[in-house]
This record gives sequence, C-alpha cells and structure tokens, in this order.
Amino acid sequence: MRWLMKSPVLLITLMLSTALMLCVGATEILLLDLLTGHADVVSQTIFWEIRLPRVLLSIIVGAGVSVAGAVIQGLFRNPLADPALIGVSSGAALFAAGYMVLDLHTTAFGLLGVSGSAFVGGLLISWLVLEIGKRSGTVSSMLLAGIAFNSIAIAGVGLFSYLSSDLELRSVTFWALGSFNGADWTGVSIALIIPAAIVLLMRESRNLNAVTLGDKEAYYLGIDITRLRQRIVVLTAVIVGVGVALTGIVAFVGLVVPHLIRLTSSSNHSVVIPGSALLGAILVLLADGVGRSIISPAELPIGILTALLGGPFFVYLIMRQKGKLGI
Amino acid sequence: MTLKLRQCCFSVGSQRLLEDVSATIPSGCVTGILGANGAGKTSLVHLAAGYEKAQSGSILLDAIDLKSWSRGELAKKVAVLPQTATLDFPFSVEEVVLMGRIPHQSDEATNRALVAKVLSLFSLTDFAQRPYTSLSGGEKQRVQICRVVSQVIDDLSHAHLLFDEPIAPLDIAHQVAFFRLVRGFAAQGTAVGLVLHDIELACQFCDEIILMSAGKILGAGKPAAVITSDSIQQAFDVSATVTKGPAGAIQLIFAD
Repeated sequence: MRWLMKSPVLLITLMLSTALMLCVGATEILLLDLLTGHADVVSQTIFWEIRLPRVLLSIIVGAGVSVAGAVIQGLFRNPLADPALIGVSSGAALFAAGYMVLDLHTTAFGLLGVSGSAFVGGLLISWLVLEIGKRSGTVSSMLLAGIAFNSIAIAGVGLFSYLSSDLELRSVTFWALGSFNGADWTGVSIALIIPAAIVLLMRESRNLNAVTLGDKEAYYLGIDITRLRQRIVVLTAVIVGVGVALTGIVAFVGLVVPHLIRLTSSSNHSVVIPGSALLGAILVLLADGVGRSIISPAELPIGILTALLGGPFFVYLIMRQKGKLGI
Repeated sequence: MTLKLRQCCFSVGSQRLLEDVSATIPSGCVTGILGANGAGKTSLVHLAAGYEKAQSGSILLDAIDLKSWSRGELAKKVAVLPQTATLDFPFSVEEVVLMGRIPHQSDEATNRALVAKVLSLFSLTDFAQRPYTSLSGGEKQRVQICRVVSQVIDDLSHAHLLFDEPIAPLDIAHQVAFFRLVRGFAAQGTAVGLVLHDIELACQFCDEIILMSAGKILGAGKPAAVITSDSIQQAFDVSATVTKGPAGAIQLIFAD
C-alpha cells in the first residue's frame, strides 16, 4: 500500500477510466447531467441498472484475473504461468457449462450454483496441476500438465456446446469468449468475494517472494510451503471460478498485466499484487468499453479483444525469455 | 550454539543416503564437509537444518532437539544456502537480499540498514538496484550468499550458517574473500558449515573437516589429521600424495 501512496498514477488512471466508461456506450450519458438531475429516465435507468454494474464488474474481474495471474506466476516460479494457460479458467468454464447443460440445478449439485461449480472446476485443475508437479518435482512438468488439462477442459466445453440446446449454446459460447453483457447488481454482489480474496493474497506477498527463490529456500526462511500452496490455490480458484462464472474467460490479462508491473515497477509481490489489481482493472474496463463501442450497438466479446492483444505479447515474452525456462 | 547429529540414518525410498552419521558443526568454527559426489554431504546439510527428517537418530540445535524448534524460530537461528538457486523474476539485488529478513519482525528501515551492511561486506553496494536476472552466475551467487547472511546478521554469535557448495561459481578472489568473511563470522561465534569440493582451500580456511564417503563419516577433526593419502584414496578413489607447503598449507599431488 505504501507503493500506492508513492505512485498514485494507476489509481488516478482507474478513476478517470471509470468516469469515461460510465459515459461511453450505445447511449451516451453525461455524468454531469446525472449529478445535476438533468438526465432523462431512460438514461438514469441505463446508468443505474446496466452501465454502473457492468463497469464495477469489469473493474473487479479485471483486478481479480490479473492478481490470480501474478500469484500463480509466483507460486509456479514461472513468469509464463497463468490461470488461463494452465487450465484453471477452462476447468472453471467446463464445470460452469456442465452445470448448465446437464441441468445440475435440479440435482444435489444445485446448491453449488454456476459460481460454485466454476470454483470447484478451477480448484480441481489447480490441485491436479500442483499434485503432478509435486510427483515429478519440476515446474516445467507442472506447466505442461496445465497446458494438457487446458486442452482437455476446452474440449469438454466444446463437447457441451455440441450437446446443448440453442439457448444453452449461447451461454456455453459466452464462457469460452468472455463478456460483461449480462452484468447486474446480483453479479456485482457475488463478485465482491474477489476483492476479499485479493486482500488475503496481499497478506501473502512476503511468502510469495520467498517461494520465487525455490521450495528449499522458502523452507529455510521459515515458510510452510504446503499450507501456503493450499491457501494460494484456494484463493486463486475463488477468484477465477467466480470471475469465469460471471463473465466467462478473460484471456491473457492474467499473464500480461503482472509482467507490465514487473517491467515498470518491481517484482516484489507487495507491489505486483496491488499494481496488477489496478492495471488489470483499467485494461479490462477499457477493453470492455472498446468491445461495446467498436461495433455498436452489437458487442465484441471481451475475451476476443484480450486474446488478440495478449497473444502477440505472450509470444514476445517467450522470445524475451529465450532458453531460461527450460521447457 | 552447536549443531549436532547423533547416529542419524536417512533414506529416500529404498536408497540409504546417510548411515549412522554423527557429526558436529560447532560455534566459533568453520567446518568443511568434503566427499565425493553422492557421498551424502547435501543430505547431511538438509538433515541438520530440518528440511529432511532422519528415520533414526537425533539432531540437536543448542542442545535442544530440532523437532522442538518451530520453523519460524529455526529460521532465525539457522540460515542455509542450498546448492542451486534459480530466480527468474527481475527482483532488484536489494529485494533479493531483503528476503533473508523474512523470518524477522523487524521494521523495514532496520532491515534495509542490515541489508546495506551485508551488501557492503560482499562489495555489492553498487549492485543494490540492479535486476538480479541481469547478473552473471558468480554475481548471482554472491547475492544469494548475502541473502543467507542477512538472515542472521543481527545475531551472529547465536547463528548457524550452512552453505552447500558456495564457492563453485566464484572466481578465486571472491572465493578467498568469502572464506575471510565466514572466518570473521566464526570469530564472532557463528557455527559455519561449508560443503566444498576444493580440498586444499578447505584445509587452508576450515578449522575442522568432516570427510564423507558413501553416506558415512570417514573422518572428522583438524584438516591435517583427516586429510591423508589413505583417506583421499578411500573417499574419492584417487591416488594422491598429501604434503605440506612452505606456509604449512596442505597440498595434494595427484599421480599421473
């Protein structure tokens, strides 16, 4: 937080972007009109019921996926790890899609809801990846296992698309491409668990710094690695699961944003986590703004935009890392 | 302030790595741990610092069983540099060394002052803000050594420093500088244990030598008593004549 006080650029940019995105859309709304009571009823309804929840959700989810990326990279000791890349997001999408297509709400699993199912899917993949890493003893094998699980989960989502009705197909496609189109106040209230998880992850900053040195090094610094891993995996699965359930997969943000913070500020997780939260919120907020304006009144799913921007950056990172990763 | 292993046995799966090992790393001393590859040196360090658990025997830190120490308290007393350290994130050198202060609750200003002190001891003050990933292998090793030293720098008289092959990536000047510094720490009461491969340097700078072979202790004591032609033959399976140089330093002359 001290870093935020010293470097308020991101905070100010987020506030300005928020103000801008509250105005931009198929219907232009002037904040001044709203504040002075000169806005008409339609504008007021659009603002309170559609735009504000959408902007808040994109801020929260953008912050969440970026922080999830930052901590997964730290935990895996690999700058190319990301919840979307190692299958956590796809696992969440698979379980969310499965919940809908298989009508699980009518069964005992109904209590889980879409968000709960997505959380279980994300948690399961994270656990599997970590377990494989523990048995093989290398970070590279964890990453490769994650990539394999990602493919399996994507194939599973594809299978559910094939099995689904036309109405369900729209929803399943939504998980795969990501969209803030359905944002409402219920979604925002569910998403509030994400900032809570971010706060808990910020408390692990020092431990995450130590883990980047290696398991032995972290042990010799007095850290219980097994418990730390459990905490990080559960909190990440909460963020990714809830995020995916509400907005689908927002690709590459979790990979790219922490790098930008490391390149411009520091690799210290007490900077990377809050910095990623702010920058991720700004980028997803702006990307959503572009997505709903560029072909207005239609919308471009945010996952397409973030993948188009993030994909080339990912290739750049691989080139930059050269032989260092050993994969 | 002594680390003692008593009749420790340690296996991984069906492979016995340490067999009935008793060894001491006393305070105020630099103890060299020597032996061929796979002799059990690293396992001994891991056991002594609590990372691995012995199947039998006991380990005593300051006469208290290691099992009775909490992980946090142990980290304030025993600092270890494992054999290989990889760090792929561009932390600054200062940030890496600051990680050594994680076990302590001291405030940031105190930690930064202690880190600055350690960096100056190892002539790394000018490197403080450089990204760790941009350094050479030897420079990275010096930073890792600093990190480990910073873990106990505020209480050297009650500290235990264990380094697993610390000098391998260092040039000769920095190797000598390293030995002089750890000897300085030992003079203040620190128990220093060094896993080494350079027998001559070990004999010159270590007060005590533990020679290992096939998971057992072959000999322990003063360098001149432990390092003999016979023990070298037994530990490394090479023929060497052990002589004393002009300044009394032990020299090894290997047969053609």
